[in-house]
Amino acid sequence: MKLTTGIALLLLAITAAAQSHLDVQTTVQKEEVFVNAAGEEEKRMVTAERVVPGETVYYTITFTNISDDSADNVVITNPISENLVYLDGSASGEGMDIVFSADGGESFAAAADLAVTEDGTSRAATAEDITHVRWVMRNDLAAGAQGIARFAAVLE
Amino acid sequence: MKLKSKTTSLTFRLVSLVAALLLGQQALAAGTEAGTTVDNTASVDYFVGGIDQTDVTSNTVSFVVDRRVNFTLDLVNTGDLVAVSPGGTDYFVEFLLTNVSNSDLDFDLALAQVAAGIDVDGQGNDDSDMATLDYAISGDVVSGTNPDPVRGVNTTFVDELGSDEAIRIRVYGDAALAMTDGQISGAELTATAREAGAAGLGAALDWINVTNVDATIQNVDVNGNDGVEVAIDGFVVETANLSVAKSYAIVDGDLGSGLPIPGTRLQYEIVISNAAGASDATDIVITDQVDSDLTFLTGGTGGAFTDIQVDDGGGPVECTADDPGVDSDGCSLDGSGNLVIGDATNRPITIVGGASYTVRFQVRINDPATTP
Repeated sequence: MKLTTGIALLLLAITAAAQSHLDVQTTVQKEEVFVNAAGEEEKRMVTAERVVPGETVYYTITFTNISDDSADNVVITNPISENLVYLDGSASGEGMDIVFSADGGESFAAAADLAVTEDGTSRAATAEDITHVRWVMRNDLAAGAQGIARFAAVLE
Repeated sequence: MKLKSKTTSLTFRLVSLVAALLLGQQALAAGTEAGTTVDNTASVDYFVGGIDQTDVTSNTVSFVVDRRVNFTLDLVNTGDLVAVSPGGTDYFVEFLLTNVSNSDLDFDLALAQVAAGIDVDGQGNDDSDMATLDYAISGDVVSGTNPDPVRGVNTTFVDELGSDEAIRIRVYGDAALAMTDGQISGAELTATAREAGAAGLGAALDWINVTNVDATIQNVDVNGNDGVEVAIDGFVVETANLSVAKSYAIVDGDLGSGLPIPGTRLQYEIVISNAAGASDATDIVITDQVDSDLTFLTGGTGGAFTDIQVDDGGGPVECTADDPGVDSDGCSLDGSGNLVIGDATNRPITIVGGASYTVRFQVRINDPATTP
């Protein structure tokens, strides 16, 4: 009996330790044109389930501190899918510094500073070069607080 | 977007390039291949109490790439029509079918004579039909061996035209002998996109219905014509347009009557004209039958010419009216009154558009009282 309780407590402890402080949810949407009741064309955002090349998709990453502890140095990283091209200027996140990688996530820099080396020469990175987007929270994420990071990309 | 490192090591770059090629149709001008699933997963790194915590990974959110149906049907030679001669065969106009969808497609083809009055490639309105009209598809795409289409071969539909691939289609026609200079015959080719993925002509395309999102690839109509493209090219008849006028004038012997009475000397004139703008008429042979009631007057028997006068516009020249084969001046008159002017070797006659050729000779109307 004591052994079983001990094991149960141990399992509980392990489970508690494995439970994350943060919950992170991602959604993807796209613009849809529809005709409203007045017969006019209007746009709205819908879940992107089917997309054709050339369309823009909008990603939203919602992260919530579901623990009782404050989290700091919170950094959200999103690798851009192979078939997508990051939409210049689309990354946003209140209270966050946004940086980019053009080398598969090895190094990050602000958009204005991002450079690539091609054939021995260095040039400014373009949207096509971006492999990752990263949001760095300036302040702590308090218990129960939520942050939202967004970016858009075009399907090649 | 490329995931490969840009810090260039030559070996690494070559490997990446090969890998990219092997991955196949991922980065085309036509776009990501239809049916591809695109995933996105974010991760969060954070600290609690100064201790780095295990990264949290978000859910993976995905969407499927639909088929963006888009293609063009272009004239290979635009701004001119194929010149045809009446009676000529196997003329052709050529079209290029280019698939810029993000998926292979089949294409059903249809061919029709252009209706009268419809403009043909900006060159004029259709006013005639080629005697036969049929099409043939090249045996391979433009980026492959791209052989010329062969009339009578590959005449059904375009099977499995790849994304970013183009193929040539020829429309063949024959020109009936009765066609006249300047006639225009248009050919209208229609291509309709169909499902690909199996041998044989694929099914018609269903267009995307946003309320009916199922597991299969849906089709988005980009060219706005329900996956149909039509192109018109055509043929123009370029031939000679000849007219012949024969007349006579009384020279003398009419006893002042002004009538062609027995004994009257007449001068015949045959004028062959080719209408302005028409093609050259070549290898012309003029034949005339001198009636048995007339006596052909040579230079030695009272005629004004020795014996026949011809003028191609550059001034009159003469040729003799002797039996065929006697000389090689390209003119002859046999014992039965057959007058022949023109010979491919000895007197080739060509009349260009807007020019004419004149033949003159003199005869006397037989006087029964004086005929030996």
